[in-house]
Amino acid sequence: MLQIECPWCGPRDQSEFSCGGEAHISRPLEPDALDDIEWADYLFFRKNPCGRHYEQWCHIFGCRRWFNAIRDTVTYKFIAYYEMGANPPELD
Amino acid sequence: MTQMLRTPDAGHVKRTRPISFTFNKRQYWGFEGDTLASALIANNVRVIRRSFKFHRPRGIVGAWSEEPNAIVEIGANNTRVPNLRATQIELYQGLVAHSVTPSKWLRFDTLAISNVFSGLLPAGFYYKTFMWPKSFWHRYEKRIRRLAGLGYAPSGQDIDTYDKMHYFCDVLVVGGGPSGLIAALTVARSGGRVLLVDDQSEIGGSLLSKTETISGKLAKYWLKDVITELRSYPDVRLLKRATATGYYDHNFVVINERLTDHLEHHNERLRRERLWRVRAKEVILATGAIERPIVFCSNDIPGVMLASAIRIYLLRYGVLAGSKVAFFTNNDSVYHTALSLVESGGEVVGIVDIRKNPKSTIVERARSTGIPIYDDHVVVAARGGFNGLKKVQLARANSQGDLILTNKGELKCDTLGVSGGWNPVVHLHAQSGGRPEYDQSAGMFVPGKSVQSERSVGAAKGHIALRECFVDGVEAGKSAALGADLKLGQIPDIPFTIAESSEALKPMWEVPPSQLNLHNDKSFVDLQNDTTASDLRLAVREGYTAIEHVKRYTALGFGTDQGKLGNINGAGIVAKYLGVDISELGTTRFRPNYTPVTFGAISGRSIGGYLFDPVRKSPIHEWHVMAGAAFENVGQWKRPWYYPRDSETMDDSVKRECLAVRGGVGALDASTLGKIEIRGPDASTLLNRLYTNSWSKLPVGRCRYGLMLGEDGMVMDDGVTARIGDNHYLMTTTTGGAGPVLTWMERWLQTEWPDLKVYLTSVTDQWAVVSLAGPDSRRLMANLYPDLDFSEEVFPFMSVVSASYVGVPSRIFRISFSGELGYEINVPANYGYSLWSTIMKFGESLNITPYGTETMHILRAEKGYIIVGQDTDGSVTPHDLGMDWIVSKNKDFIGKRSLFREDMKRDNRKQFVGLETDDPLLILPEGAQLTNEQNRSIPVDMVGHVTSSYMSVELNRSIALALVKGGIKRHGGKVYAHLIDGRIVPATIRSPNFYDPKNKRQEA
Amino acid sequence: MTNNNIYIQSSLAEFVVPREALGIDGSCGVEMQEITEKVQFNLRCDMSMLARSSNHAEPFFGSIAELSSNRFSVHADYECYWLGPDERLLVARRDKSNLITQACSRLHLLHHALTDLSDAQTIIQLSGEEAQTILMHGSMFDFHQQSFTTEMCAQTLLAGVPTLISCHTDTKLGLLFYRLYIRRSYADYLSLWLIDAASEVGFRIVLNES
Repeated sequence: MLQIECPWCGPRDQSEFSCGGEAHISRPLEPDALDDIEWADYLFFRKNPCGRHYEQWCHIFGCRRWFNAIRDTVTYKFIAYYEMGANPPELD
Repeated sequence: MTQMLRTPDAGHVKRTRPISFTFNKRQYWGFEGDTLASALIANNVRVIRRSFKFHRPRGIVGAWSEEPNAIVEIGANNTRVPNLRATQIELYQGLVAHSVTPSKWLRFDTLAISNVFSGLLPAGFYYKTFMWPKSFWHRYEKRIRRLAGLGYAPSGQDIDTYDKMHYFCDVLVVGGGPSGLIAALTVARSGGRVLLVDDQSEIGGSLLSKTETISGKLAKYWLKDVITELRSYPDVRLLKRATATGYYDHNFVVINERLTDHLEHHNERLRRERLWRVRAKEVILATGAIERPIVFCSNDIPGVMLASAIRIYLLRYGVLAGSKVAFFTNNDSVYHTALSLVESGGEVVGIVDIRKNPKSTIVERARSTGIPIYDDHVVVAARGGFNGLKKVQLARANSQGDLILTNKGELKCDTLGVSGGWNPVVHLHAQSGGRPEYDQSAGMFVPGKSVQSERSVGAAKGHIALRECFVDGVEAGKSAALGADLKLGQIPDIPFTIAESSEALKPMWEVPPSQLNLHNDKSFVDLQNDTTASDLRLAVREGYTAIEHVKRYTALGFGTDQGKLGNINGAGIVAKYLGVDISELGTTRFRPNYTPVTFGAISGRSIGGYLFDPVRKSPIHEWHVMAGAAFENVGQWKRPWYYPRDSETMDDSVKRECLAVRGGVGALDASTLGKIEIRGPDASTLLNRLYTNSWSKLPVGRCRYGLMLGEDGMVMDDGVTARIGDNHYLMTTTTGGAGPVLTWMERWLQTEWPDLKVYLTSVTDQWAVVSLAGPDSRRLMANLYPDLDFSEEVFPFMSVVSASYVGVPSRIFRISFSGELGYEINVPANYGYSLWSTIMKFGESLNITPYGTETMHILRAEKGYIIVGQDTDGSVTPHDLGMDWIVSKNKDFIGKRSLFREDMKRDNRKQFVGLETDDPLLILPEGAQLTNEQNRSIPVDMVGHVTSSYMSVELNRSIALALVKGGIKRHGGKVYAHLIDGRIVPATIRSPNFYDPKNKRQEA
Repeated sequence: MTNNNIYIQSSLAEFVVPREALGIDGSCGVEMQEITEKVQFNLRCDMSMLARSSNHAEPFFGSIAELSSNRFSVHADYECYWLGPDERLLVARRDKSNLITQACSRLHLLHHALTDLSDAQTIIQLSGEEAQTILMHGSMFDFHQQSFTTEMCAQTLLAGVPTLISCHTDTKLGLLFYRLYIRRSYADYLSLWLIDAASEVGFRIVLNES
């Protein structure tokens, strides 16, 4: 069971959250201008890093806010949290 | 009452409380405080069972969870517990146990014939032999299971209950031995929340069987003082009989607490086990170390056991392991045990020490009492008969320990305590992500670098000496307290312990072969699975170089003991054969659970009956119950399925309900559907972006059916949304879609469109909804709301009005899912029950009929209305459903772009159609596969499946809805449904709108 | 039709179970009671803008806007619970319901949503020496008084049911007690679960005067 820190509610158990997958994917402003390959990339293709993963989480059984987190996919450690819409923090 | 091997007064057992128990149908006596194993040893029961593969007689080897041999079963039928270790069963009055063994006869085992032919049963035997023909494996497996003699699972309902506990603490201490206790004390004095768990029935760990004094007094006094002080802190919790069984992410540890297995009588008020799910800021692992045996010929003969077990049986349980005890060792620890044995009146016939002339203080003391010491000797073989060990054969080896130089006679004994060193219990450390490292000088795997906030102390770290344990514990306590942001309190003093000079151990995994070895001799590495050293050699010869492969090929470490005694020796032996260092080879991966956990504990209270999963009920629920409704589960909700009257079958009820709705008026409880309030100046914008159709021009007071797609263009949910005000909509969703749709909408608003000014609030539970349907529904409504104008001009189809019934605010929708004239009355939920009762009373003269979800399904199916999730499966687009009319061409919406993907334009996509079977009485099973041809030669092309299927009383024939490739252009064509019983049923494709295709009735 | 035909029911009014059972040691560790006669409103709006609408004469909006996360405030006629950065639960006695609706009607210039949830949510009060223990059986949330105490609230899962839990002090007994706000549809289930969880420590259901 992971422990995840909601920016509003503090550290809570994983069971209160829902994972939204990769973060920082914006919906294309003009979908019609994309061809099928580009559209499929937006729809389906996701990064699969060994290490830092930038992802979205929702505190679905808490305050229901969405936020971002940087999590290491090897150690499952959460490296940083930041609010939805904010830029990811600089890491060394 | 003869317990021939019980000492007069040693140990902690309560000699004033004798207990009688039964083992393999014979009665014996023990004492309160015994384990089944200690009581059996006291009664000189040497042979417990026969081994799985070779059916060789086996006796007790250890004293706790490392025990590989003494596998027994207690209880019967639904209280049967198979495959327990006798060493961990606390004795209680009337205990009945038997060995888990293949043969009925312990003395003479016809199956021991496999022992004679054991040369033909090497490692990998099963894997190599029973592979052909593949179809025969099931027959082989049954036989193998019976031959192996594994226990049987219990039958019938478990009479016990289990539950869970969720716990947080500053520091979790695993292990209540000296280092764990002093660490816990350090943290407790710093004001921390401490949870200390120990898997034994008494806290104390190694202190329970130590003769060393602490600060000049017996260990038990120090123990008592520490426990008393710990119990005085309100935020310190001590759990006995509690095993930390798994270490997971972020310092989440699962602990299995056993509460009643040691009690004589079943008490249904007590939970049998409790699973603690613990989140600790810091963890201290004081899990101790398990003694490691040495591998030699016939080391499995009953009587050969761990030297530390002999000590525990003597000092804790007051039992002599045998009458003539010998020891085989490479380190100092057995000497303490030998001296204690002699002090208690036992006979020690000799200590075989592979080291040359060890000079430790304890060795000198043993020598001075006259115990024969055979230093620079090894035991090459154990010899005995059915009743166990009779003698051991000695020899001298070279200094590297890999060659026998000369044979040196024999030593007559009935018990041999073996000690090859210690293996720190690194399991939890490894589970936490750490990687154990091999300490060359100490000859053991010790914890490596910590990945999570944990540290090991005492023997778990490789520090066997008592003083080191105390020092470790205090340091760990301090670092854990600081790690948990506590202010250090009074640090406990390191108690005074006598230091003696000691000599290091000389590592030896396996005694090299000698001339005395017989052709059929076996050296066992894993006693439970009969894995021998030659099996490991064979694996290496056959090309296995990774320890994980060797494990699986030879079954090393597979058993209920999980290789606690065999894995490290096995790794050492394999490394030797491979010519690599053991540190290179490593160990197999450590996984939860440390010892077996019952499924009951894992389930807790979430089992059958009413606590399995949350249940949601409509405000009108009790009325349905009293009316005798049958219920079905829709997600977590209970919905009335049908209302049987008198002795009606389901078919009878449903027929009656359908006729009543289409012919008169029926009432359905629709409270469970999702309802979401949408408010703000951008409400229309949000709906336009999420639904496929347009909303801006919907007049206030009107409703519209909306279809919601995923970004991939597939239908996700549907529902009717009403415009209550300029900037105010009420959206409805399917019952199961309420939560997901709200989450979906919030996600878009928060992550993509934070500039939109619109708020969403769920009101599913706020409103009770009564749905009236049928040609008489308007008359009924007019009686209820006499002041309301129900004329077509004022209250048209798909509109909503607010009204009040005797001061109760209502929202009334004129919508229909049944295809009949219909209204849905929404009232605040607290009025729901009384509204329904009132409607039932008012409707008596109209013969109003309550109807359930089955009827609802049939009525809408007759109209060809989809149910998302039944007729769609996440791969169906609006076009597939024949709903191009609902897809706006003038705006972007979620999923729109996907509708123009190449794949979406295929003609042979599965499309929504109706089906009529040739036989009007035959109801197709939902899910039936459809083909275009009747012949069945494989491979058959599947062109679709049946999604919904019912008997329509209105049309007096069966109807079905289905998804069929290219179905929209195939009306009139034929398909064939394939049933499980082999029948092939022809059906004609048609429009899914079977009844009143011009919708005259609902728009009346 | 007359008024007599309409009556209000609480969601647990028909709850039929043994009303009490003693614990293994003969004591009663937990008391459960349904809190009725309350109105509940969900308010969503931009809280920083709401704060600006507050003034001396009308501290109402300020008290709502400035609430810290996962806390609630108690006032003479109402309580305000934090549900999210832009969301509050307002609870008042039934006879004071106008207070909230009237105050919010003055917000017409500020984009907001006030939703009556008085019928949607059931309030269960859990008190007694073992109340905290019961909660620990059903939720991976830290209820220890060091981290969850008076005037704190939290939304979490309890026995699989999404719940708002608030912590209050009983000044007479000096004990903490809790209130659980759940969707009414879960009320039966959660009550059965609470009773089962209390089987070892003993429970009593306190009935309201009808």
